[in-house]
Amino acid sequence: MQDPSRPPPAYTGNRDNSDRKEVMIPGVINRTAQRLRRHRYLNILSFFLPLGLALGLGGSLTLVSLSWPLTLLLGPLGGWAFFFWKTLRHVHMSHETAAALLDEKTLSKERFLTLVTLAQPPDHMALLLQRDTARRAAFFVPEREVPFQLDRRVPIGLLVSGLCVAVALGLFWPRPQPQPISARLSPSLDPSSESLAELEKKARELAAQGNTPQEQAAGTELVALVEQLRMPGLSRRQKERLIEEAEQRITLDIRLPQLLPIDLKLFAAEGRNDGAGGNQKQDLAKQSEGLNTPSSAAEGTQAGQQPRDAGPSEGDQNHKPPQQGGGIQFEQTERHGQQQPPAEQQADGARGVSPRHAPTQRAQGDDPNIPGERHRPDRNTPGPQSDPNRAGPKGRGGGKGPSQGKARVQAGEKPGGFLTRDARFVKVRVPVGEVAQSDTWQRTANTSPARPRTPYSNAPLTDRQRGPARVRQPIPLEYRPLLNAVDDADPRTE
Amino acid sequence: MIQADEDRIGRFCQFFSALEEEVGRVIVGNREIVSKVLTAFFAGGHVLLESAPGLGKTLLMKSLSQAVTLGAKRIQFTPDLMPSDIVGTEILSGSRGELVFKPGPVFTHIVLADEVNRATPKTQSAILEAMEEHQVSVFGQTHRLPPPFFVMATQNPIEIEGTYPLPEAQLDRFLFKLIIHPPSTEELTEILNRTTADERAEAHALLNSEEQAAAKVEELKRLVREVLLAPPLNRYIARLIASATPGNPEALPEINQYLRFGPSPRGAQAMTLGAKVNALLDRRVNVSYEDIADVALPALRHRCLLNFQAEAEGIQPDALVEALLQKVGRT
Repeated sequence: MQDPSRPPPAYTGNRDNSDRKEVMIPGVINRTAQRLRRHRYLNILSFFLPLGLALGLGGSLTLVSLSWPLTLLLGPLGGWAFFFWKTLRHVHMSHETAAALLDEKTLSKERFLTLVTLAQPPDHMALLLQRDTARRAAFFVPEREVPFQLDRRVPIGLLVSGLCVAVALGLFWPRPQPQPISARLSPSLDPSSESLAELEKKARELAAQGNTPQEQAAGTELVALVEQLRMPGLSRRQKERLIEEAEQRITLDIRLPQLLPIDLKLFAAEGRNDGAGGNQKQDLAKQSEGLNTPSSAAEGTQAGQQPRDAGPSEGDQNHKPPQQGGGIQFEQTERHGQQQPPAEQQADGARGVSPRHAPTQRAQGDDPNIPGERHRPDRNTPGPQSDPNRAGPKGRGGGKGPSQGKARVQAGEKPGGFLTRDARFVKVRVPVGEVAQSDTWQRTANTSPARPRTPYSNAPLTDRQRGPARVRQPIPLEYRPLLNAVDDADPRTE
Repeated sequence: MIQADEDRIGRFCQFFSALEEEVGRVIVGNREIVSKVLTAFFAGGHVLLESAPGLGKTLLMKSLSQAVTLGAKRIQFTPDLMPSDIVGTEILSGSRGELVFKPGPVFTHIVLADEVNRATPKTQSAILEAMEEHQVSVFGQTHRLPPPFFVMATQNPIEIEGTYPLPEAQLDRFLFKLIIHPPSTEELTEILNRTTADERAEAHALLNSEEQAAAKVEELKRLVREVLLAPPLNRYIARLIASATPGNPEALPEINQYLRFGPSPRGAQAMTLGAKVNALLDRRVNVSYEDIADVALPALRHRCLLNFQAEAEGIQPDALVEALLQKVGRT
């Protein structure tokens, strides 16, 4: 077999080479081999270059987005370069390939292939074959007969490259992110800054005209934040901390507007019934009466957040802002509870039924002015007992644990539903009327301010006989006088 | 010189075509069989014909010998046929009182070994040695057979009783195995017309004498061997043989499944020589893939020995050879 790397002698035409003892390979085979080699290079480049570009672009985007060093891209690029070089290295379109193609195109039945691969020394038969092939190759033009054919791997490579780039762009293309408040205000935390004024203006607009209650609440938060930032004597660090806290609150998914009116009405009603609930509860009642709109709720929130710079309160263990009570304090407690759902749920299980449970009971005709509710722990009252977060399983709330809290549900009400999910207190209700009508257990209404430890029980009463005790064993007749004498002599029987 | 080579090729094609025509005047149909017999004849091999009785095997041999103007003898193989009946023996000469070698019927140019599977293996081996070595040994004396030496053996596939099937090693000595199929209705009509009329068709001698014919045939046989075979085609033939050999890493799955033994290197030689004859017939000095594929079936079918599973499933060697041609790549 001929060495494909050896350049074959050029064929000089159709002249009779019978005198020369050397087989001349027709030039058409050389031209065809070169053309096939170019086609092969083009196909390889068309396959590898898009892949390399996609690898570089997509890898760079990924690494930059993940903040990884770009040097990690050298590994994949090195692998790509290695395979590229290896493929290019194995490209050699030998004359055998070109001859086979020529045989196929000219129907020469392996004449060209035999000519270029003859291993034996050229003899008269080879010369005859050479003349025959030259005659057949006279009308063969490689540029016309061997057109470029795109390798089927090239479209696949292009498609894969495009997909990779598209995925990388879609996943890691830097998008304009919403600028946080701290980024806007940090350069100009000066109270006289225009940015603060602009923020206050927009916040008030948002609080008053927000589309949703969340937006209004956020506006209220921002108004409070601006007012706090304008307070003199705050260091820049404190201001930044205020901004961070405000950002955390604003980004919360609060459901305050749905819950707040109900709770504040309850609070207001209880305050009226107590009669001595203090001005805070009366104010709260007034506020709750007007909390039919989300804007009023937002105002209440604003009022409750005023003294935020006073530092953490005594009972606040979760870095909660200080509260002064009233509806505002209640509202912030709700928010705080929603920041920590797992802990709140655990506490709910121990606390039992929420005050929001009360409307359901009123709807059934119960009297809300029951003695057990009078001295119910007021959450608005500062101090350890008023802090609902401090109410343990053994507190006055009467909760006996999660299972008991779930068991006290109204008919048709599911445990863990809307009204019992956030329950904080157990509303104690003694069945006074039923007890009074009972002829087996005479009992008066409980007017004591103290709450019963066992507020309610569904356990059936035992069937006890209330008559005089009967003699279980009759005394024999011969012992009766003796026993009577002993009884008469015993001074303890008197 | 190129012109001279072209003339030689032209003479080969002309002589071959003339032989086909002369034999075809006697043999109705079976043009392919005649062509393959002539191919084996000029390739220097021997042919095993397998057919039912009465399909013209003897007539083919006689027609060929008449056309090529070479001597031919027919040997009817029977169980009691002895090797000396084929190769000859030494007999006592009455006049001089010494042993004189009397050549057997194998000493001719064309031998028809009719129903070769009816003789004992000992007798079969006698003629098979002559086929391979072109010589016979009798009582220590080696006697060369006159070139060209061509054997056409026949065997009847429908009679199994009392036969001695040729061993695989002896089957390998035949260049081609040809199967003569029954004639069609038109061919049978023509056979009746030719054989039942007053004048029977006969092949005419193309050359003047036996010596001239032998020389011419030997010259054409040398021309056959001068045909060029490209190394890729040589490798293709080798791959075909390797793929048909069970246990070979290149063997096809069906080969491993159905074959007990594959073709020997003689199979590759048979394909190469037959392809060269085909190339000359196409006035080419090089072998093509088509030439190889054309002779692959007669050159390999009797060299593929089926195993029990293939015989149980009715697998024929021809199907395996065609699978080889389809699945073995040319590049």
